[in-house]
Amino acid sequence: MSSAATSIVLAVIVALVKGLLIVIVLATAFAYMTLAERKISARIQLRYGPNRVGPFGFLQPAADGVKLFLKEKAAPEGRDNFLYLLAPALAAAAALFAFSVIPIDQTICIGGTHGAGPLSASCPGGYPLHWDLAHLNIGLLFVLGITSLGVYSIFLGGWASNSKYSLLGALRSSAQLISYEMAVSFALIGPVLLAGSLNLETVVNQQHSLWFVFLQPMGFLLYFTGALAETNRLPFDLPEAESELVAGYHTEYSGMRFGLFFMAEYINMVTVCSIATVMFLGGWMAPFFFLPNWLGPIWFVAKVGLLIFVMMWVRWTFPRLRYDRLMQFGWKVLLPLGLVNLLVTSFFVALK
Amino acid sequence: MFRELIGGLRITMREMMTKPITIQYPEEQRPVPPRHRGRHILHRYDNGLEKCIGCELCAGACPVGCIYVQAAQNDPQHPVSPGERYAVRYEINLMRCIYCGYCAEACPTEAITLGPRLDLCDYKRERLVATKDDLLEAWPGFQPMATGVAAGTGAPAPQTTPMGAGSSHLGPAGAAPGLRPAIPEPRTKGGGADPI
Amino acid sequence: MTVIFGIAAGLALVGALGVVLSQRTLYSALSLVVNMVSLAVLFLLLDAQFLAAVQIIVYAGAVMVLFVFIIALLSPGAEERVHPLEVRLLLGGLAAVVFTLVIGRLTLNGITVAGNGRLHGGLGPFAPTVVNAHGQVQTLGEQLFTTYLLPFEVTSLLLLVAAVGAVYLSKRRRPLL
Repeated sequence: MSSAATSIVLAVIVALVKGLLIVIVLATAFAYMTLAERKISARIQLRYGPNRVGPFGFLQPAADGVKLFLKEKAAPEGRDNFLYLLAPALAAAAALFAFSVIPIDQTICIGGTHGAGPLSASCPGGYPLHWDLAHLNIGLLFVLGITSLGVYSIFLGGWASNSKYSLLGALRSSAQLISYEMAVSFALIGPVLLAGSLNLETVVNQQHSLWFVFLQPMGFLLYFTGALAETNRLPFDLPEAESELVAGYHTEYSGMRFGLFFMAEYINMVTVCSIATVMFLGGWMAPFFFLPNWLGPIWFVAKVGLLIFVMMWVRWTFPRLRYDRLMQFGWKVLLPLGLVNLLVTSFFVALK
Repeated sequence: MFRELIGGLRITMREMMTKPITIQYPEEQRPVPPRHRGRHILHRYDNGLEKCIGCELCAGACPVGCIYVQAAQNDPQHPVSPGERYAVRYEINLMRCIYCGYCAEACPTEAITLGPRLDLCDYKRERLVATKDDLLEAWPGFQPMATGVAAGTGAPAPQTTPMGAGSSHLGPAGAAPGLRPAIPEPRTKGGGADPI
Repeated sequence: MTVIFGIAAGLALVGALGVVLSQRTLYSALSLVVNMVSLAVLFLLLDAQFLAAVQIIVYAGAVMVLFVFIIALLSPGAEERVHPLEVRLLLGGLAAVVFTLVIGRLTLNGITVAGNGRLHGGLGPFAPTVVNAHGQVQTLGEQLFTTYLLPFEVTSLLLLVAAVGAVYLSKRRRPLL
């Protein structure tokens, strides 16, 4: 086999392995995030969470999974069947897909010399082992693009259900998502300006002296708030609040179809927290300079876990925002603040 | 605005550190109040005679109609109750009972009262119709009348079928309430394992 | 590469046909989304990664979402057929032929056949090698803010006018008490 063919086969195999790992890890993470949510919410409410199914409820997600698979698939009459079935699949696919550019650790150079200092990701003469599935130079834009495609799944799910509550919930949710995408994008431009690249690994490497969260505190808060809105979490979850809209766009879904929507929401949470970690919290870098840096993935998972914990903490603390105030907040508060952040950051970067 | 947000988060964090107030039922249970109306108990006198005289006033007073009493004449040689009659069949449908206590108020001899036992659930409907041997209070030396797995625990101590443990509401933890024969036949009271 | 090109181009064609031939309006809009995503893949094959990402974010992720909103909310009924079928076929065919000729002529500009029979395109100042060396975003940014500054600003103004006009047109006219 020619070397071109070998490299292609090798690339495909590596990509398949990484892809499989991502899917397995994210699916397991989703399962245990549901358990974590229930335990954390229980502790906040002075009760234990599920603790019957396994020690500390560790088998509860398995029980939930079995339940979802075995449930009756009640579907409304008059629905558009193709779009009805497509929506949860698209939601889960987009959520999983968006995670494929997030680097968990620095590129390892197998053979050959590591290019131009420890901050480079190139590897002349050897094989660069990237820790993300797709090492794109426009990694950040890719994630933003895929999350924009995820809006379709919500909208189609609501529309295809042939139900008032679903349609209203879907409309509200889609409008909310596309509004807060703006705030999120502006918040993310700050670290991009500071790092000088859209490549996520380069952004992390540029934080080796100081994490960007200290240089961009408002950007981080803006991003986190926008991320809460992007994933339909409280305090921005009116589209799926039980007392308002039954369950919004996933009212008419049952069994594993609802499970896929649920999975998409939680994996979106993981993705936005990972982006926050990569852009603001230094990705795989140890918090203090004296701690070992070679535990990259562990630091990454710890930081993402901390952010997810904060998301759950916030959910069970704050009341819900009414929908019109939610939209006002997105357009009239977050967007101008994002612009101000952008102006100030570009001013300082230009002066440097 | 940030002060309120952070304040709210502090409160929630404080609650997370507090020990939960949940009780792990059924391993731990709260004691019931003294006048709690749970499962019924048919009482006896200290000499072993049953207090119930088969007058059926409880069945008449019951607003739901869940009590069935079948009375019979007392055998003078082997009296069951200090009176002319006794109840040969006494059944309460625990699924229909509303635990109001009217039967206890109506009973002239204070034979039927509502005890503290509240964990009345089962997988089969037939097992939730309590018969006399379930309801009858234990008495030292009493031999269980019902046949069945749970009755014969082999212990000489007063231990009726699990549903009939009248003295304490805490049965053996997780004991299946009543591995009894399905729907019991009307039992003749003469002879057999008589309490006296 | 050719396989991916085949798949992406095929999907783009399927999407385009779906837009025209769908019975239901919403399916047309969704076919257009499929078309746009395939176009983004084609951009990727041409080494224009930034453009592919922006195509997905802006076109497929924002513009088409609004299209789908409107179609799903307002549920337009069947189109009215104004002209008879033959007229439409004639005019459409004519337009297709003219379009193909123009695009073909533009594409063939500067394409030469080298000695081994392969096609070569002309390399202008923005060939992929040059752009990638300098950085795609950087090149785009520099051109937008220097050479094409006036069209850029005029387009921004146009978008602003459109936004203001939409807000004005959708305001409820409240009677003065």
